[in-house]
This record gives sequence, structure tokens and C-alpha cells, in this order.
Amino acid sequence: MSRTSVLLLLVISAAASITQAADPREILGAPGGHALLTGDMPAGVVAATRQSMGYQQPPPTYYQPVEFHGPEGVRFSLAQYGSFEEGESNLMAGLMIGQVYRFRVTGIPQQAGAELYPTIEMVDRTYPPPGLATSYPIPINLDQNDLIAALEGRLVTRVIYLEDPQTATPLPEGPNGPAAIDVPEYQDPLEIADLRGRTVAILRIGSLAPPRAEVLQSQFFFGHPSWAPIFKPQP
Amino acid sequence: MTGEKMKRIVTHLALTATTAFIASGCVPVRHNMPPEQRMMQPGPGVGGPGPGVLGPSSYGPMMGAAEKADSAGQALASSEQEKSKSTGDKLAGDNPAIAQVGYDQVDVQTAGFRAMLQDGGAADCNCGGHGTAGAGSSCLTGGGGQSIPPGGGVMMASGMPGMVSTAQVTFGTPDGMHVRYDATGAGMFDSEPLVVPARQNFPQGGLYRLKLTNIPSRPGVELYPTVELAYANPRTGAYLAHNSVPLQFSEEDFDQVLTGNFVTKVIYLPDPEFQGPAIAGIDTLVSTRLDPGIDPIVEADRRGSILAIIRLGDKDIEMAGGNLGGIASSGMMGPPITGLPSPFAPAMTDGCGGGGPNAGKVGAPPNLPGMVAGVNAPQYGMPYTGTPIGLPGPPHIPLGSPAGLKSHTIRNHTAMHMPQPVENVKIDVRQQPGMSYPNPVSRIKVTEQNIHPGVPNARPLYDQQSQRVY
Repeated sequence: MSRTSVLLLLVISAAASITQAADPREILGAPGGHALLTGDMPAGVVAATRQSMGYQQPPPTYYQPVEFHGPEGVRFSLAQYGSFEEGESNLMAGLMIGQVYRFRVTGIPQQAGAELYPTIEMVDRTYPPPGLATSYPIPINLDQNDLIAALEGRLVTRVIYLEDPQTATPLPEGPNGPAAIDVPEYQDPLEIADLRGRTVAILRIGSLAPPRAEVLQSQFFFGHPSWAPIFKPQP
Repeated sequence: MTGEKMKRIVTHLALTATTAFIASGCVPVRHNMPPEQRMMQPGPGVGGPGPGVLGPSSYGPMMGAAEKADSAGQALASSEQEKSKSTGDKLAGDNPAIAQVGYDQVDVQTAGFRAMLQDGGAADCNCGGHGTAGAGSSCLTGGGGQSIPPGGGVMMASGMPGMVSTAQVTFGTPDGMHVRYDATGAGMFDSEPLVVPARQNFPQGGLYRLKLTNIPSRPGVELYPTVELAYANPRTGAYLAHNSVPLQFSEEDFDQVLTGNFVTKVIYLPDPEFQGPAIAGIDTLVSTRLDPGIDPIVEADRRGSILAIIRLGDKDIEMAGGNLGGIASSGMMGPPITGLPSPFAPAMTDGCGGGGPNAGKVGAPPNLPGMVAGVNAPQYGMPYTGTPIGLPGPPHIPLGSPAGLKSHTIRNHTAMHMPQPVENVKIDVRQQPGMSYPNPVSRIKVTEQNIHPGVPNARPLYDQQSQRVY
């Protein structure tokens, strides 16, 4: 009898050790994983990583047309060798894929003299019908709330994506193109945009002022990438 | 009698099964890995990174625009700059198409984070922020600002031999206060005073001594806070590329300091889980507002990524007979860049999130990679554990008597299970839901119907006649 009880104890202890074995879920945490690319990465990383992973190989000198929109009176100008020309209200320009461009926003309503220097990161291009590229530029919208938030010292990230035609949400379009979707702080805008379509550009608006020291100019302007001006026909 | 026999057989079966379990190793084992620090060493007590422990691999030439974080003075020597510029102009003249719009330029115009992807060991240039850079694949690569990428072309940004990543700092409150900093590296507060509110670019990764004068409602008070700016990391890089770091001194801070307290303010970018839906941007922790025993730096590091640390006390640095509190020993970071403040020490906060090999190393030059055998780590293969015989090790005891120890035996009774390396790995992959495509087209029926035939479309009569064939 005593031998049986010892064996029973052995079997019970073996069973207990089975139940005590570490469950991987305890260590690994909740499923879902971590995204390789997030919207709060430094400007240029998303575009460069996508290209290095071979997702997209544009021709060497493709200038994707973009059009900047803003509130009434806001003027935009792109940097040209470290200096800005007088801005335009609905600026159109061809930007190279994979580059980060610094542009200037002036004439913000009710903020006299305020200037902002947001960046636009070109992640991907669109494929308009041949010859109609400038008729279908990527709309870059900056609304008043974005500009005010940036002037208050916050960093506003806007991810511009091309909707998936199969799952597109029928939302009414505003006067400056598609309406923006507000994403809470704890959600990643890039992830939401990837769910809904294909990310083409990332706009980041902050309140950084251009540096006075000349050695910092190239850093501020992300190496002065070239861009092509697009002149709209006069009506 | 039969029952007892059966019981014995069952008992023996159970014993056999248990033995088989133990012998075959099928009993679940809780693996206990060595500490992370020991995994980085080839063996106990031997320095250097262990075999098989490699940094993240390169992302290829696309990521090749590592930031050359040379020492600032060397990188920005004017002769070097002119040399690179002339080289760049010459190359641009030879092939203007490449120099202007060549796609290869993409490699040059990159962010500091790409350097991190390329070379995991280099702590400083990894976190170098968002700036553009010259060519080169490593932080230790010196020289001019141009090279030939694998795909051909000229990787030449703008004749820029090196780049210093900076963080823009906004002195917000109180209005009218004057802020001075060390502008020439001489250890004096010799800059033009910044009148708050004001902005100034500071090189990242430095410890700066400021002088606050003309403080409103506190005439005659001069304070000498230090500001420690962390390196940019992937979490803070986008913020620092678009926003400035607000440094604010409140009335409460001045009250605390003038009553003899020491104030530490930590400005950090909260992680998403510590950000409410309404609160965005950065947050500040002040030591005087926290519960006793809570370190604001540790707490801020837990909640997010530290951008800057302000330490404010009432010590008069410029008092005669003092040693300027260490500010005179500047030069560790090299002479300042024209127009930028000069740090008096490298930052102690590792902007890469800590835990790296260079975390917390104060004395290491900031542009050296984490562990260099013989420089900031023991010589490779050298034991640094003390042994009672031979060197290195503690002196024999008692001191002064001849060495008498002849044998020293250490037995290791640690239970070891070091598995052999895996030779073949089999991975079963299953995508859920699986692939299901419709069947390809194998039969096409075209029915064309004209509701109103209109004019007859048959072949004309003249065409139906026999034609001559040449």
C-alpha cells in the first residue's frame, strides 16, 4: 500500500509540473504584434523602408503632382535651395517619391505673422490616366484646426491614402477634397490608413522654425530634394 | 489474491510510464535563460560580444545614408567643407543630370533613423535625429561628403561634410527673462542674451549650462540651471524634426530653488498608452510635484521618451574662487559649431531608450559605437574577473608576504542544458483563410444582336467577285 501511495504521489507531482509549465501566452502578451512602420516615425523612414523592401519602384524621375489646400488666405510655398518664394493659395507641384519636402505656410487666419514649416513625405504615387496626371493631383489639405494645434506646440500627423475601391466609405467630399478622419491619440493613423487603402503621403505639421545656422539648413530641408513646379492654366 | 496481483501490475505499469516519461525527457521543463547581459558575452568573465550575437543587418544601399557623427569640430572644419564642395561642384559639372535629379540622391536625403537600421552598434549616430547626411556607411567613417553608391551616380547632397543633429528649444516663460549660454566653448556665458520667449537650436546629446538673469519680479537673482538634451530616437525623431522642446520656468520653480530646494524637470513625449484622447504632445514631470521617493527621470522614462531634463539649483557658478562647476572643463565635446551652444558634457540620458550597451556611460565619447574592445570595454578575450593566482586579480592576502597559493579550484555545480545548434528547421506555413481563386475562363460565348440592322452590312457585290492574285 505504501508503495502505491508513493507512486500516486509521483504521478500527481508529474501532473502538477505539467500544469505549472509556463504558458507562452503569459510571456508573449496579447496577440496582434507590433507594426513595423508607424505614423510617428521620423520623416522619411516609411517611404525609404517601403522602397527598400521593393514594394514600389517608381521610374527614376517621376514627379507626383500634389496640390496644397488650406483655409481662406493661407499661402504655401516649397523650399528652393533653402529659401521660400512668395506663396500661392492652391500650390501645385510635382514631388519625387521617397523624398521629404519642407514647405512654408503663411497667412494663417487670425494668426497674424505666424509661419509654419510642415513636411510632406511622399510614400507612393498614383496612377492616373495617361496625360491626366496634373488633373488628378494628390490633395494635401491643412485645415484650421491642424494649424492652430501646430501653433500650440503639438505635432499633427495626416496620412493621405488612396481608398480601396472595394471597401471605400461613401463620405461626402468637402470643398478641398476628401474629408479627414480624426484618429484618437492612442491609435496609429498609418495603421488606419493602411486598413482603408494605400498610403501615398504623410503630412506632419509642427511649429519648428528654420534654423539660423547655415550648417543646419540642409538637415532642416531634408537635403533639398528637387521638385517640379506645375503652372495652372489661366482661365 | 487476484485483485492484489492486478493492483501490483497496475502499480508497475504506472512506475514504468513515469520512468519512461523521465528518461525520454518528455516531462515539461521550465527553461531558465541566463541574464541578457551574460548572453552578450562569449563566456563567463570574458569580455566582448559573443559569437553569434550580431547587430541588426544592413538594409542595403537604400539605407546607406548613415549619419556621420564626426566630432563636430573636425566635421565642420572649413577646409574640409570647401574641399567637398568643390568636389561636388566638379562632379555635378561633369554630369549635371545625375547631380540634379538623379534618383540616387534618395540615398543622401535620408533620416538619421536609417542609420540605426543599418548599424545597430553605433549609439550616437543611430539616434542622430532627422538630419540629412553625407555618404558613408558607418559613424566612424570620416572624410568628405561624397562617395559613389553601388548603383552609380554621385551621392552628393550639398557639399556638406558632416551634420550635427539639433533640437530646437523654446524658452517660453517667464516673459522678459534673459538666457545666456556658452557660445564659444570657452566655458563662459558669452552668448548674446536670449530674451524670453525665444528659440535656440542646441546640438542633441549635450549637457548645457544656462544663465538666467533679469527674472521678472525677482531682481538680482541669477540662476544657473543645466539642460540635458537626449538624442533623438525613433519615437522622438518625428517630433524633434517638426516641433521645438518647450523649456519653461514657473514661479513655483523659482520659489522652490530660492528656498534651497533642487528642482528637476523632465520633459518627455508620452507613449500612446499614456496619452489621453484630448491631451496630445509632450508632458512635463517636476520633482517637487511628485510623491517623495519617485524619481522623475525614471517615471518619465516609464511613461515615454525623454526629450530634455532641466536641473535647477541655487548654486552660483560664477562666484569667485569656484571652478565654474565643471564648465571650464569643456572641450570634451569639441569646440562649438558657429552659432550653436557648446555643451560642457555629453548627455547622460541615452535617447535610445536605455538598455543599450552604451546606456549610462558618461565618459564614453558620444560618437563611438557601444562596445569597442580595448576602448570602452575590456580587451577581447581578457578575463576581468579577479583570480587569486596570476593577473589580473586582487593582491594575495596577507599583503606583503610572498605568493603562496598554488592551487585554486572552482567547481561549477550549475545545472546546464546547452542544446546543440539546430541543423534543419522545418516550418509549416498555413494561411487562414486559404487562397481561393475562381476557375479560369475556358469557354466564351459571344452573342451580338443588332436591334435595328439599318443598312445591309454584307460584302459589296463587287467584292464578291474573283480577284486577281499577283
